[in-house]
Amino acid sequence: MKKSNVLIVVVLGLIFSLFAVSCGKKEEAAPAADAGASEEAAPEEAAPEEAAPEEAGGVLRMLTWEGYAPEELVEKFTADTGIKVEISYIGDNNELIAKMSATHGVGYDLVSPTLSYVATAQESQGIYQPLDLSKVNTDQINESLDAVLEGSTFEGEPYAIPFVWGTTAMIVNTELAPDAGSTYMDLCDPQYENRISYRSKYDTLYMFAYAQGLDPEAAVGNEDDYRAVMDQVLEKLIECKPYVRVYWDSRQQVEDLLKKEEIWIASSWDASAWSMSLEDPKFKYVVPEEGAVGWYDTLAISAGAENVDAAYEWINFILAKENASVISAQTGYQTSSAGAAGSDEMLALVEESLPPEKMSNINWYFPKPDYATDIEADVEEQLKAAQ
Amino acid sequence: MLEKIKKYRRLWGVLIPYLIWIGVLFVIPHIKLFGLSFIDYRSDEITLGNYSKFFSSPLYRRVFLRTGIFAIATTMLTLAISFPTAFIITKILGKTMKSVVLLAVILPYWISELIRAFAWMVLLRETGVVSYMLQVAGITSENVEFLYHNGTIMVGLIYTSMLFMIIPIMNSLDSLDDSLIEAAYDLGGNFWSTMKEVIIPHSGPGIMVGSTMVFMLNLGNYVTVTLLGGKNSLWFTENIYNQFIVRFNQNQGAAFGVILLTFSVLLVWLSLKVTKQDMAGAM
Repeated sequence: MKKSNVLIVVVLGLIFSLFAVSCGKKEEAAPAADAGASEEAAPEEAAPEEAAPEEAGGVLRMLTWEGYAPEELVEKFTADTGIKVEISYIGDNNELIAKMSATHGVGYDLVSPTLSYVATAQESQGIYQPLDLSKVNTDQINESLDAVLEGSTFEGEPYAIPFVWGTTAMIVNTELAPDAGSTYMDLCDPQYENRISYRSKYDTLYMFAYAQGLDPEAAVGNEDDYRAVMDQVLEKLIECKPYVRVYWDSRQQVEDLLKKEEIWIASSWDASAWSMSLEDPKFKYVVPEEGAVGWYDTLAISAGAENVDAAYEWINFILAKENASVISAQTGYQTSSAGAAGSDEMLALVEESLPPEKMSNINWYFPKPDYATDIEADVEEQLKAAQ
Repeated sequence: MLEKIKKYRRLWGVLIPYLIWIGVLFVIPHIKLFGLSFIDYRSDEITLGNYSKFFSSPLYRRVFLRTGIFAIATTMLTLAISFPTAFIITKILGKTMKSVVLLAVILPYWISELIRAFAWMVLLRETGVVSYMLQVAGITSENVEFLYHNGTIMVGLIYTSMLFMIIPIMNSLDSLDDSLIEAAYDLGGNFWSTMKEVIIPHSGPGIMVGSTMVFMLNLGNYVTVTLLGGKNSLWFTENIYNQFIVRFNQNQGAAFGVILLTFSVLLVWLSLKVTKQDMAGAM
């Protein structure tokens, strides 16, 4: 009897709170809808905060990839400008867009999306703000500037500054798999059963497409064509699934598997592979005959940025030759800073893996419409579910 | 009615923080999620398409079924392991040993689930501790991989949620007077009949609460499953994650979330019905 009374009170309380919530929600809903409806509202929101930088430099909040903002440089930046830096990391372009679009960019000032994702994300989500090139020291940026500005243009306005470029191909343990690396199909070779790892993500899909003589870039303009290409890729990936040990998710994970010799061949970002070669030369970054998959990461300013001035300060700081060189030396990443270069050992590795003929044969990431993202996600899910 | 509210005035005082908690963190987000699930992600129109997508896709149905069956099987295994453990802790061990064993059960939960999953990876990977020990013991001469199997997922899930089964069962066993067990034996019962007629019926509410919590935790798990399951891990929560993060399709993700929630609520309700208990009694 007593217990049932308690239950009644709880249920009543719930109904009451539900009622209160639904009333409150109606009032909330109106302004929220306004903010979402007009994308122009976002830059205006930044206006009241312009007072912030005057106080003490303020805070710069960045969303970027591991290695793109080394501690050494962050400390130097804070010492020079008085601006504090807060960094969050992403592992995937989709993750970046999802995080940004959840708040319409509020919470981040500066982000590092890959070029091929900038204009399409701007079109569908409106998460960036147009660049004011008069605030950017363009003299210190190399010849990639114009192409990247053009590539990131949406409705006549550029959204991204070139920052770091790199390639994706394969890393091989040359002691255990000396013959691997001439084609991406070595990632599907039964003699390396259980010693292979790659991502179940878009870059792997492109590798498998190129290896079969398919051209995803040519097909991306038409939904049916793109699905046809990706269906063939999926078929191949399912056929190769028994030989894969695990689909890797992070740079740290694949490096660990390679060092423990649980895997011998893997798909890899160039810089990650080069830094492993520096530690142990038996690891080699190899670009197969189909050509590396190339990407260009950029710097873009969030539509909800609260400290726009600090974002420009960072852009000019990080692309200065002496600072960009620190990134190249530490991580092997190539930057768009004119004349910046890493250490001599790193340069030797870059030239060995990417001689001129392979440089000219890079398959660059291409911009994708929404349906292409959906098709790729279908492939990933079906691959994961295939037994 | 009013008198009753007055009578429970103090109770209300206690309930208010809880109501705010559950309102802000549970009710509001779920209302929002429920609303989102009926909206088309491209056209912003009201639709049932997000739900029909689930029922028309063999892939999602299969993953959902797999997740459900795994969660149920894991819950049963967790119960099979936890019930004897709880019984031993409450009825057999002396006071000192009781606190030692209880501490041993609770201690791993001071660490986050993510770290515990990584700990399992260190143990079970090909070059890991277990494989090494087997070689030292001479059982095998080669490295053995224990990761990335369905069994690994189950081990991880049982380990992750065992505490939530043990504690409620211990609670209900604590309230069972030892003299009742003695009386059962005096009346000619043996171990099994005493178990069946006295101990299990008495601890029924505890088993029910424990199973409910463990089942929900398993069904909604993401970290343990993806880390330990490897290339075949697909769990329904991963599909939900993909909808939100990879496809930016909040609406489809919300529909999947609602389907998962409905399924688990239905199953819990059904098992309460079958075991002739109500939630208030079980709590």
